[in-house]
Amino acid sequence: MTGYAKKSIDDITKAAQVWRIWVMLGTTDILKRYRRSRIGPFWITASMAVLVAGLGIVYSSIFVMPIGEYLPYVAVNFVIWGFIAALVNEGCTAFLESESYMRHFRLPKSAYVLRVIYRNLLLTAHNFLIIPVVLLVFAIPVRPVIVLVIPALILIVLNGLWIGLLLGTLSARFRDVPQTVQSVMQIVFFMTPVVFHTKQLSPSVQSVLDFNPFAAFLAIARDPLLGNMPRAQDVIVAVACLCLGWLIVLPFFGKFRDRIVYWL
Amino acid sequence: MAKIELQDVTVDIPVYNVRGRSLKSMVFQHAIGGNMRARDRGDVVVIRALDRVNATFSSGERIGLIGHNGAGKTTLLRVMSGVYAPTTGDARIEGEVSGLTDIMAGIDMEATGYDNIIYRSILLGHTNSQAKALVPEIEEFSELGEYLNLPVRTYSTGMMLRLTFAITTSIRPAILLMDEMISAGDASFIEKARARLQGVISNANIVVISSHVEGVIREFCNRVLWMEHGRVMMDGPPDEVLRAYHEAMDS
Repeated sequence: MTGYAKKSIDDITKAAQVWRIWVMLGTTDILKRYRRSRIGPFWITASMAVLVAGLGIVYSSIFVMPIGEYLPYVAVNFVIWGFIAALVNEGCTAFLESESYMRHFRLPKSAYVLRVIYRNLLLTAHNFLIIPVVLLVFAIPVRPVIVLVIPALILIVLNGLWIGLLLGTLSARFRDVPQTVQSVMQIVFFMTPVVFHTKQLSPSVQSVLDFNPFAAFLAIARDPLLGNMPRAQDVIVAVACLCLGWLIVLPFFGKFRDRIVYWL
Repeated sequence: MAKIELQDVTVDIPVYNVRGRSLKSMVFQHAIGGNMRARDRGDVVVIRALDRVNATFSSGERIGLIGHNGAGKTTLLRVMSGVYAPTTGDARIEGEVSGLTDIMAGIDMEATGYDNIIYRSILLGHTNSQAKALVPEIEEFSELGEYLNLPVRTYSTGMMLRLTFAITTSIRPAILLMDEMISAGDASFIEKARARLQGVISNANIVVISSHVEGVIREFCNRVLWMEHGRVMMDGPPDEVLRAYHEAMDS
């Protein structure tokens, strides 16, 4: 048990040392996607801006909320949710998409998950550009609490790493996992307060949502951006996921790490 | 000092068909149990690619791997490169390894030749500035000239080979592993590649070449491993092993 955990830690430490490789892979992933396009990765920003503007206008009237309150809320939510969902969905394909590298280069396996995380950090950075614009347009006061978004993102990334190691390994062996995860994430999207606001729900449904860890991850990053202190219970849920996840993944990944390349 | 120690190395490669890989079939397998399980197990074909291979390679040895297709040569190279962990047994590799086993690995078809030089060098463990320093040498050796500014997808196979061969041999690993590949180039390139390989080989501590071309083995190797069905049939000086190999082929 501990031997396997040590193997995992060893792999992750080595992966951190070869940061040049996954930074390069993550960057070229994005370059590849937008090669020969004129505005390149800013398509990400543009499409997010259009989505948020459209949703903000239509849904604020559906939910009868002032647009000045609803649009910033939904803008921040979409940016953070996009990041969280991508870490889960693309974590599944971390090893599958890196097959040719894994067969040829002796790299620590975690490096391929870090590639996925880095790539999505870059994408999210592009999306993030719309947040200051929205805050400015709707005159949302920027409070010192906003810096708490940084530890929140770190918490999300550290959770994303164990999720990627777990789902990536499972997906290499069982090819139904990526599809299953994708459908589940779609359902989770509707059960997480991304487009709607928790306070619009009846109290009983609200208490059910407290068990949705994705809602907690979303909240810890969203609240500071909108000038609010994150709720203690959301932070506790996020940290609990972190501990529990790593407790499972360290022995799991150490045990199966060397088999992954045979499953590809 | 570089060293490769293989102790009873066995590699089993599972081949899953569509059912074997599906989670559903695994769930049902457990739900149904009994006979079904036995039958479903049959969906996974296990290939024993290496069977208790024992060998020790030390500095100064240039090893040639010969044997039929599917004899386990490539698998053995993958074990030595650290890509495959042995199913049972132990593989100890001391020294920096570089493989010339797949010329397309890590190549971004849409990126230019220059970009790919940087990408692949970084994959082999260089920093950005180290990678840039390699460019002039690779430019000169590959003779691709202006083509280096074009996306790699416009290259012919021979040009690809020139590029990746130049990149991979531009680093000086302690252990160099090569899968037969030199033969894909044109005559002038093969001549150049040969000269360059001599240089790389004299720099590397251990060289392992897998090849069907006897000339290559005779020219570069001072020890030959003859593989058959994942086992080492014979291990010794080139002349002896090649003679035995031919006798077995003729009979």
